[in-house]
Amino acid sequence: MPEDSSLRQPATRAHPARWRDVLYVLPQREGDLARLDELAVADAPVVTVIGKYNHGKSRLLNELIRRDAFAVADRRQTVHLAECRHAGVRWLDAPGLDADVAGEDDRHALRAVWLASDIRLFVHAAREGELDAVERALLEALRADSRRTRRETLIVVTQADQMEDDDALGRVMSAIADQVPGAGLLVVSSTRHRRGLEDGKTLLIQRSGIPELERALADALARVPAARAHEARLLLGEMRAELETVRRAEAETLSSLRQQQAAQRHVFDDGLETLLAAIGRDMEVVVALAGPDLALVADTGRERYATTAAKLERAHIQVAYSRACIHLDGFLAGHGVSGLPREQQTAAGSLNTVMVAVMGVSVKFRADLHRMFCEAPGRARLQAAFAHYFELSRSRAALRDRITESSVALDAADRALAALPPDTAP
Amino acid sequence: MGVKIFNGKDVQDFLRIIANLDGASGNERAKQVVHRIVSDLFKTIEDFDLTPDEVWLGINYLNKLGSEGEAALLAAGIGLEHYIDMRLDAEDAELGITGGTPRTIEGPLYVAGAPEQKSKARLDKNPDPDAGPLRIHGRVTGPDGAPVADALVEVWHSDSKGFYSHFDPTGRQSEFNLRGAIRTGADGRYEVLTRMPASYGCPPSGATQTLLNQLNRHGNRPAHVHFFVTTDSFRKLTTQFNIEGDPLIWDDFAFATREGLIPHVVERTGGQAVGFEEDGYRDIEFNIELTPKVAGKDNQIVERARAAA
Ligand SMILES: Nc1nc2c(ncn2[C@@H]2O[C@H](COP(=O)(O)OP(=O)(O)O)[C@@H](O)[C@H]2O)c(=O)[nH]1
Ligand SMILES: [Fe+2]
Ligand SMILES: [Mg+2]
Repeated sequence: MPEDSSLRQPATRAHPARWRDVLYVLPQREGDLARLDELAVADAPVVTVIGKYNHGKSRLLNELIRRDAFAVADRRQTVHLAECRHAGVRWLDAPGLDADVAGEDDRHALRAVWLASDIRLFVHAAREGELDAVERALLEALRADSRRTRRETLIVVTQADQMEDDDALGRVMSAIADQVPGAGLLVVSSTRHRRGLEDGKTLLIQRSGIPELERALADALARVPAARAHEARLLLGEMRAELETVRRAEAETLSSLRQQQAAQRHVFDDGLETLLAAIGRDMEVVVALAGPDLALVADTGRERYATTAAKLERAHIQVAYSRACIHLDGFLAGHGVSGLPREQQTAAGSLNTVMVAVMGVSVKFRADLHRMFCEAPGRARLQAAFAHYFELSRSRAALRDRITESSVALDAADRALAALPPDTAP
Repeated sequence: MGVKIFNGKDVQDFLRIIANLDGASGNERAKQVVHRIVSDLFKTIEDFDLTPDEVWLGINYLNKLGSEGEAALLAAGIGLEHYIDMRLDAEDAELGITGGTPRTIEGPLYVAGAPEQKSKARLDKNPDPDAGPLRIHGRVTGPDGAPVADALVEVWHSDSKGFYSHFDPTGRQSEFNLRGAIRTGADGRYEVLTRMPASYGCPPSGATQTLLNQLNRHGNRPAHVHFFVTTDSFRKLTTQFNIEGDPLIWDDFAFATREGLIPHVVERTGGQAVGFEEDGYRDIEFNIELTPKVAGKDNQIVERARAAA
């Protein structure tokens, strides 16, 4: 019967759809979420055995449920989880936890035991003497879990009948008691219990330790509903607190990134405005002119290699314009905005600057320079055009990406919090 | 300082070694040219008593010029390109070749591969509200005045911001905007509908204009339209015409303006009839007279790196 494949349970995983949003933020909480799923569907309390191979786990369960439901053997037998219902309890048998032989199946089963169980019977055969390192580590984990979740662990020393005498048993018991201070130990012998039942020997049954174990078990079972309610509240509370911490940190990051973004832009805008105003004042002097604009009067072919007043005027204007642009370019370079974004670059390297893209290369005369630099709307146009490229600059794009990332993370934390049910209903 | 060492035996020997003038192999012509240029440079340093700082300023300037890709622009600005034209003209005069549409500089912004059209082409593909409609048309003839059929008239010019397609950092122009290749019919005629180009100049904060600032010169050019005219039987013509009335016409930083390359601009109405959306447009008739090959060869073909798309 234990080998019946219908008894085989898949290892439980956290429900992917239900917990997707929570898992996205708290992947390390997968086990707790799976446990919440268990608590949501669990009806009967679940008792499991846990311990090394051949320590009499399966046989102990058979005694407790009064029938041979689980396979008993001298060699490694139970490789997967088997379960049986009896007296309103789900009894789970698990493979042994010897790490050197445990395969993928065993780990699955152990994980299922850990998730599903309300009460763990930690089994250790008396003839083995003290607990070994693996057992102590597991027991420590179980007891820590008990303190946190109130899932109880009973330490059961089995195969008491195999000890030479009570003294030998007593020595083992006190050695184990020293290893796990503060824990109550139960001693059982499945063989005696079985013989006592079969032969109707009450004393033997008494001496098997099983009735005492059953009393301890009954007390622990009575505490299961309260323990489950506590555990669900605990897990939800912990996760909510953790999500809120994540959310707070992310909100802080986001707001500081946004502040940084605004502050950078402010510095750029302010600096550019000041510079444009200064250029505007200088340009005012350059373009101030009484009488007709000589630069607009074409020279004659005879004057092609001659210096004329008109040519001097054009040179004067252009050199002033160039100096203004060199000044602006220096400011832009200081803000990482001098080079053109890659998508806009052309085969002509000399044109691949923000200055050229914004100003064009068309010839500027007095009226143009006045419009561009000496009038507020002209300066505002330049301000907006340079700000456009400022936002396209690499460092600004990187900052924007970080803001996007951070707000995605904040949304994820919000979604995760929304996906978490209220404390009372796991 | 003001020391004079240039004419001394030491420096003269040094110059011969620099160019490997007396060495056996290598390119003789290159050796001689390098010897001359370096000699002139050394002499300049001596005559003007240039300081080491000034020399390094110049060397670093070359790096800036190269990194900005402006060497060809500076070549126009320091008249190198026009000087080559002056020599070609003088060569023609010596050969007795007269007449024909004057050649002038090509500039660095030609792009090969514009789709060829028969007789007539519309060049503007992108809106440019600051540039009015412009019709350019004319006849390609030989020296005898007879029309040339199957001549390929390639035309390219800037938009209102002074940008050429393929070289527009604003990214607003599509491929071959304001560029065309028109094949003449039996009548030798070509016709182009386009938008008015702008006068434009060197990037205002670039290496070329930075040098021009030191000379108190601007780096601007009058508005113009570039031409290549290619046939099987005549010399290839590389030229430009300027837009009449542009104040920069005889103040071109590249010295490309020539008599005979300033056709009249005529204001016309009836734009829809010729293919424009607007009624008013400007009309330029630019006839092209090609010149014969010299001893069956085109002695003016220029090989240089050109963009293609
Ligand atoms: N003498 C004695 N043998 C036992 C007792 N409990 C189990 N065994 C034997 O120990 C072996 C392993 O038992 P089993 O329940 O299969 O151990 P498990 O691997 O921990 O499940 C079997 O041969 C059992 O018959 C006991 O109380 N006394
Ligand atoms: Fe040009
Ligand atoms: Mg077993």
